[in-house]
Amino acid sequence: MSVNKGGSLASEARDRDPADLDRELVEAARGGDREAFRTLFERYNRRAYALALGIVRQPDDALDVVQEAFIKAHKHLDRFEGTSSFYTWLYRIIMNLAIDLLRKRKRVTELAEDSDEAGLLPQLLGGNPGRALMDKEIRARIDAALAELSDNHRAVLVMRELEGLTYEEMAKAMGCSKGTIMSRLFHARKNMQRQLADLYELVEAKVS
Amino acid sequence: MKRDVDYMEHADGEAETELDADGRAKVAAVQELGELVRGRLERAADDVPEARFAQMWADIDKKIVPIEVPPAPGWFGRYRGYMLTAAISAAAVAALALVLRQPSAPPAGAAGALAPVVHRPSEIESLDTPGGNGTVFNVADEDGNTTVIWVTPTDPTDNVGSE
Repeated sequence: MSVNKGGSLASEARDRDPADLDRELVEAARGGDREAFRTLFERYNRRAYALALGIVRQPDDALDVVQEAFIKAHKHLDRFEGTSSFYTWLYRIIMNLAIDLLRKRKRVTELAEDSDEAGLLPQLLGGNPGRALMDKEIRARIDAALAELSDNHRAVLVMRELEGLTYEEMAKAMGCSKGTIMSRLFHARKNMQRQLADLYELVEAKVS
Repeated sequence: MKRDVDYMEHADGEAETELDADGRAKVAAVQELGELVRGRLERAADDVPEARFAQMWADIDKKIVPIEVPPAPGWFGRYRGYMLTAAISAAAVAALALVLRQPSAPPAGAAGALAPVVHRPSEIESLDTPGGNGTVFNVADEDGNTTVIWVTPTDPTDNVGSE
């Protein structure tokens, strides 16, 4: 297939159903069209990075995961059946690589079920989290709060909030029960709220 | 009594829970926390310079193994399957026709039926020919029978002075 195929598909991207376009790009890439695969890379590299960063935390590690994920995806393009979207297939590769990386670096901490009986907090950032995120200090506080979570807690929180995965899908991805996922997610959220408790006052002062 | 985990399930769309004021506030807080996490990570991704991803692509491009594309098959290659199927079908039909063939002749008098070709020797035994007598007979040879007409000329002097 010609080099232009990927480029022309890319230029049509705005008018096309993303899933259909992805399927065509995958088909072209399977036929040896590197530009088609490059278009897929350009469509999803940032989203893939956000997911990887959420799990491994370190920007360089996240970039390594993304690069490795795309190389692996290309190598196994023939296994992509097209029953799900290309990104759904890619994020599974990213998840596996990110979790493997954490295991290799022995960062995975055992799930520490805290005995704290406290539950979720009903606090709100004035209903404008987007505006709060404009502030560099607030972003740094969120990064710090995410870093405080155990790897398992953070992975579940990121999968849920970034990819919108169901409890069942997360359980499958992480190889554990749905109950474990619920427990991890609950504690991740509760801990984040505790970490950010004083942020609410800060945001109130800065945003309002 | 509702537990916080019920509110969380409600916020995630995993279960429906009737919400009181406290429940509504907690569901809203869970959703807002989600927006913060999502927004933070997306912002971090947006902050990566385009050049960094361009460099990443260059590295990927070097490392990915080119996919071997088999050469496009010719006409026969493209239709080989159909042709084989057609040939096998034709052979099967021919074999079936051979097995089921009726060896007997069609019924006598059947409309449109052709009479079988039978070689018959000539029934003409003699001929009157000018100036002689013809005799017709069949001679057997390697092709079957050959009809021969033998003409014996009349002697012009036979009847002279006989009256």
